[in-house]
Amino acid sequence: MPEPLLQVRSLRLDVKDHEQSRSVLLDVNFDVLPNEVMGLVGESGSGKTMTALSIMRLLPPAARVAEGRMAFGGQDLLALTEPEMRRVRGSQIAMIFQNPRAALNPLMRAGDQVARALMLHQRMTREEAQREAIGLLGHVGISDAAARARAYPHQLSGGMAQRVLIAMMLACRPKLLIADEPTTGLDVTIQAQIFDLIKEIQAEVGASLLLITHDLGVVSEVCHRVAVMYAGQIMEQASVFSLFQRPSHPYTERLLASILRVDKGAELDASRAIAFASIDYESVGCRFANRCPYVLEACWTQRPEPRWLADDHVVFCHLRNREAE
Amino acid sequence: MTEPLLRVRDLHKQYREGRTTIHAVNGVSLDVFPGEAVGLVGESGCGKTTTARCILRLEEVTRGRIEFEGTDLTAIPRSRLRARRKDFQMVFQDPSESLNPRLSVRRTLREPLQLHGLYSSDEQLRAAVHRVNLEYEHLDRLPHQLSGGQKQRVGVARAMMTTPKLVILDEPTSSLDMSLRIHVIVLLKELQRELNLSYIFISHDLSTIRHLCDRVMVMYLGRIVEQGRTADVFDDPTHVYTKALLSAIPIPDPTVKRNRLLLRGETPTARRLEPGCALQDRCAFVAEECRRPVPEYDLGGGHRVACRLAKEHPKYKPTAQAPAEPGPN
Repeated sequence: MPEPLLQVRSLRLDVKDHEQSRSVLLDVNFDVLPNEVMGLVGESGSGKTMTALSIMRLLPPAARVAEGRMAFGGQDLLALTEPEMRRVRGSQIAMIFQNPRAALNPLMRAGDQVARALMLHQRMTREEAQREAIGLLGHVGISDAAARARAYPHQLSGGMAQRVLIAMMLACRPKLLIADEPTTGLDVTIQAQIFDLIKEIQAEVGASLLLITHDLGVVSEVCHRVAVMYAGQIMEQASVFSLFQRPSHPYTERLLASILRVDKGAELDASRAIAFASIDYESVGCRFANRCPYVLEACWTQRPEPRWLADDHVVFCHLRNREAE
Repeated sequence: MTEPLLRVRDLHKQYREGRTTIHAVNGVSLDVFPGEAVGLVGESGCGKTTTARCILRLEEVTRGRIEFEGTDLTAIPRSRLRARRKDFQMVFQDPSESLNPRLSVRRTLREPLQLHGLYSSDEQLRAAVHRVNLEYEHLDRLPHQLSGGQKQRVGVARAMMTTPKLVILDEPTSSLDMSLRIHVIVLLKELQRELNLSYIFISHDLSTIRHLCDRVMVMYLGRIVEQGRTADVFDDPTHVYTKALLSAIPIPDPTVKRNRLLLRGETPTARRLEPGCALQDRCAFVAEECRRPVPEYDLGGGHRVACRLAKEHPKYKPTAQAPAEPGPN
């Protein structure tokens, strides 16, 4: 096993809402290995974006890391001072967001934004950076790059804006790239282009990719390994192949059964889908308990011990532990 | 053959944007039969939502006919249109925006009944919430007290209040989490059967279309490029655009190996109306004849494709009078 690039251990994130505080992440553990694509998949409220923001230390003021450790290339991210962290962001860990146009400076031409990243992280002169920026924009598949470099973000389509962000990322040569729903809101044919580009660039730079998505189809096609999150907890973690072959947490199983597939026209069966209920953030046990068809007494009170089904597959479920006894 | 409930013929819609004209819809023709669910699918800017808004006359058409049970809706005065509106309703994309935040669920559901003089008692409202699997207590809630899935159910219930014949659903599931989506689709199917509704289902989400619609029309740049029974179009896509669209959708199964057909570039804006196929600048199979108007080739069973490659399809039988109907471009 290679040394992980990023290690997240026992991460707990508390968010204050009015006078109440609740843990939107609870006991989150995972690694990102060099050169791999690791997926965090879950529905709204699963905590996947909060996990990314914790790593980047870009949390909203009401959120606080209450417990845990995050090691990146040997350094403890939580122990860094803010100026130190700023040097990590961009040059070592870069993030691309869901709404690419919002992530760009609206008052600055696309080419200048890429050039600025080059001046900052590659210590280029303005002239060098301007030239290199146009090269990078062409490299990420923007046709007529010299002309597009002069465009402002509002003159770019969503797909183009995401390409500009990828070019900026490329300028920084990070070790870890975090992509949070990078294609949500883009048309599906553009989505396919962007994912092909991200994979290409990732291989070229030799970075690892932490991909955050709600789409199990994307996970299946892009990721090597994946952690399934629900209500701030990781339910199951496995190689992509193993997860789809052998979904073992009731949540994963039911989530896969809920997906409408475009390549199959089978009769709809909602009886195996996930039941309606609000997310239970109060629980200290398994937070899926209130929606789980197989719930046991222990599920309400105790976090299940990890059960390793294979070297590359771990599930957190009392039922699976009981079956194994 | 039964008469169609809705018959749209050669629908055009243009917008002025400064000195340029946007050709949002370019000659769309379609039929919707009673009890049938028709899917309009395509990416942003393809004209699917504009088509729906024209059908409901939320937009005035530039040209074309929209006949609902034989009445041309584009020709009748607004006052008469209002009386007909109880027969066709719409469910919108974002339930948070389409529900009035100050109205309780009860008032939201009562309003369409009162507007058409159909309200008699609270019992109707209770039946309505029951029909969409909500509880009676939800009647007293305001939109912000409901979850996204519950709000969408209220939106669905509201559209069904006047027992319409046709319901247009504009991306009704795209704001919902995937585990909720299947429940809404199952509900819509049940309601359709129970109330004998016709649906026009607008979506970019092909998997939802596949599971809800009897027939599907694929739109690109304001035109229908391929149409047919859902299984025919999904299992045997023939237009290059349909193929590209279907092959771009990630399949949640790592054992499935796929050949992806990528399109060049992005959808152009509908400013200039080029003669010929709308996809010509992005298509890898473009030929000289694609620059001229493309007829619709009939593959049988209502499967029609406006692409020269359809001529090579084994099911295509050139007939003496074919192509009888001029293509959509």
